Amino acid sequence: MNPRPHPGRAAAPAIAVVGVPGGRRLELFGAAARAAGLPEPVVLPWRELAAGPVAVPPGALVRVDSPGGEPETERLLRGLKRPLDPHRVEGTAAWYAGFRAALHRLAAAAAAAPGARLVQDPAELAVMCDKRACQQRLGEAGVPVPPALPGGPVSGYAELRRRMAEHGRPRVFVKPAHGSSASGVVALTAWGERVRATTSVELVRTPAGVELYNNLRVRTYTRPHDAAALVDALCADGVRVEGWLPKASLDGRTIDLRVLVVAGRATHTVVRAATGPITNLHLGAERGDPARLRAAMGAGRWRSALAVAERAAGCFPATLHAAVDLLVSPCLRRFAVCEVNAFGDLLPGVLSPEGRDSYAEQLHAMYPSAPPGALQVRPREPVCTP
Amino acid sequence: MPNYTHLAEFAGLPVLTFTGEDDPVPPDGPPVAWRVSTLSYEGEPFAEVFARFLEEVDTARLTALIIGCWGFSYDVHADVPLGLLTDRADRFPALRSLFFGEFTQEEAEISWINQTDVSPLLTAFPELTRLRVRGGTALRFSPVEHASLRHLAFETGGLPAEAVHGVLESRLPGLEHLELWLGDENYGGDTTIDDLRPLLDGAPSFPGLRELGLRNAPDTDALVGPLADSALLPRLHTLDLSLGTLGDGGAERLLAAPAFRALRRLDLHGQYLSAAAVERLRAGFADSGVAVELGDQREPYKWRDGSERRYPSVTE
Repeated sequence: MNPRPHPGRAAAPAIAVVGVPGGRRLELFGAAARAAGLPEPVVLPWRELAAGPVAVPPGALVRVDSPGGEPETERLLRGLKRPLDPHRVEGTAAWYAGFRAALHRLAAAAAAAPGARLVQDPAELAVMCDKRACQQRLGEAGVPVPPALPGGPVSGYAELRRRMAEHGRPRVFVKPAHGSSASGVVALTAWGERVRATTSVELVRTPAGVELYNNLRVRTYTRPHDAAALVDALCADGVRVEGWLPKASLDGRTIDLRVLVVAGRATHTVVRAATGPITNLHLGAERGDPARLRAAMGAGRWRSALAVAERAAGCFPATLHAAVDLLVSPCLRRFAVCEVNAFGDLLPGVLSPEGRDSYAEQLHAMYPSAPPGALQVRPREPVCTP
Repeated sequence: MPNYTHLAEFAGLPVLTFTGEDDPVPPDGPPVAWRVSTLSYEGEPFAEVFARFLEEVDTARLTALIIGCWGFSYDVHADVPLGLLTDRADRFPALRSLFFGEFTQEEAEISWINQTDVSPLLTAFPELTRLRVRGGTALRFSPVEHASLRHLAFETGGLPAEAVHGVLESRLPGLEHLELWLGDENYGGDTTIDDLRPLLDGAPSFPGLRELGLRNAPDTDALVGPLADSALLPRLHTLDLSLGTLGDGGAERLLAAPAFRALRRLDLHGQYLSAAAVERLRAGFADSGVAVELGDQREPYKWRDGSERRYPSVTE
C-alpha cells in the first residue's frame, strides 16, 4: 500500500540522489522518503556521474550520497583503464581528483537545471574529503582538533620518524588525506628502536613491490621495516599526521563518538567502543550505550560535546549534514574532532530524540512542514568562515 | 583489559580527576581519591598540574592519591612525578594509598611507561599502607624497610627480576597483599620461578602475607607445582593467578594438590581452560568452600603454521 501523500507536500520538489543503485543507502533513503509521503527519489547513478556529464531534473533538490561500494565507479573516479581491486588501499589521490571533477560536473548540471539546488555544497564536500584541508579549516575556526605534526606534509617514514622525535611526539595517527572508513589509517607509536603500527592495512610484498590491502582484521606491525614500507606507500597519496590523543573508555573499552549533525543540530549519536585504538564499527568495534556515557559525563559535558560537533559541522554551512567523529579525553572533559565525514550518515537503527532515523531527519530538514519548496539548509549563522 | 579504563574507585573512595578548571573542589565534601594527570589534550606539563593541585586541593586531608598520565612517557621520565611527590611529602600527612602511573592503554601501552626506582615513595611516606605501580620498563625497587605497608602491587607487561629481588630483600612486616604481574619476556619480563624462590620458601620478611597475586604470567601452569609444594601456600587465604595463561594442565595440578583447598579465594579469571576443565575446577573446589573465579575465557593465538600459543593478558 502506498502511503497517502502528505497534503502539504503534494507539490514538494522532487529529490534527486547521486548514489549507487541497489545499495543500502539508497534503499534506506527511499524508504524514509516513502514513509514521509514524499515522491520517490530520482536516482542519478554515481557510475554515470563518474563517467561524464549527467542531467539534473529541473526543480529538484539534489543530494549526494557516498560513491563507495561499487568497483566500477571507483575505477572511473580513479581514471583507471583496468578493473580495480576494491581491497587496495593505494590510489586515493587519483580517487580524490576524480571525485572533485565529478562534483564539478554535478554543480554545473544543477546550475543548468532551472530551480534545482544541491543540498550539499560541492566545495564543502571536497574539503570534508580532504583531511588536511578539513582539519585546517576546523582549527582556524577554533574547533578543537588533534594537533597536526608540525612542519607540513610528510613525504615518507624516515622524515616522519625524524619529525616525531624532533617534536617529542612518540604517538601519532597517520591518515590518508582522502581515505574513508579507516582505510589506511595507522596508529603509530615509535621511539628509538621500538615501533608499533596498528592498522587494518595488510602489507603484502610482491616482486613488483609493496601492496596495501584493506582487511577487516586490525593488526599491529612491530618490525621497523614493515612500518616503514606501510607509511612510505601511504605517503605517496598524501597523508595527514596528527597527535594521538588518548581516548576515553567506558565499560573497559576505548570509545569515541560519531555525531551526525543535520541542518546545524546534532541529531544522531553513536558511541563506538573498541578494544584498541581504531574504533570503526566495521573493524570489530561495537556500539556502546550513549545513555551510560552521558551519565558518566554528566548532562552539561554531554551538551558541550555535541556543541563541539555542531561547531565542526558549522564550518560547512551550505551542506545539509556532516558526520563528526569526536574524541573524548579520558577524563571525559575535553573533546577534539578527528574527522568530519561527508557520507557518515549510514547509521541504521539510530534515531534522533524525535524518533527519526538519519535519512528521515535530512528529509525533515529539506522539507520544513509548510510551505513545501523552501529549502532550509542554513538554519543559523555559520560559526566560522571558510 | 584492566588498563583500558581509569579507576572509578581507589582505596574504597570515589576518584576525582584534578584539572583545576571546571570542577569546583568541594571544600568539606565527603572524602575522595584524587587523580592528578596531565591533560595531554592541552599538553600542560605535569609539574604545572601538580603545582596547581597543591594550591587548590586540601592535601592535608587526602588519604588516597593516583598519579596518572605524566605526559608522553618516553618524553617525561617517572623521576619527574616521583621527585615532585617526594619533595612535597610534607603536604600529604594523611596519605595512605598511592597509585603511581595509572596510565590507560590509550595514554601509554603498559610497557611504554618508563618507570624508575619507586622505593623512594615508601621512604618518603612511612605511613603509606597501599602502593600500586603500573609499568615495568626500567622499574627498580631498592630494598627498603617499611612498617606500615600492607598492599604492594606491580602491574607490568614484563616484570624485571631486579625489581623482584629488591622487593623480596625488603623488610615489610605489615605486608598482607603482594601482587606481581609477571608479563612477557619480550617486554622485559625476565622474572623466573627461581627469582620467586625466597617468596615461595616462606617469605620471612613478610610475616603477614595472606594474599598473593602472580598475575599476567607467561606460563601460569608452571607456577602451580612450585606453589603447591611451597612453604608459603598454607599461610595464604587468597591466591590470584588471573590474567595469565592457565590451561587444562595447570587446572589438573590445582585439583590434585590438597594445599589449594585451604584457600578462601582462588582467582583464575582470564584463562585458557576448556569448558570441561572449568567444570571440574568449579565442582572440585565447591566442596572445599573455596571461591573460585573462572571468567574471561581466552582463545589461544593460532599461528599460520597451525601452532597455538597462549599469551598473558597485558604485555605491550
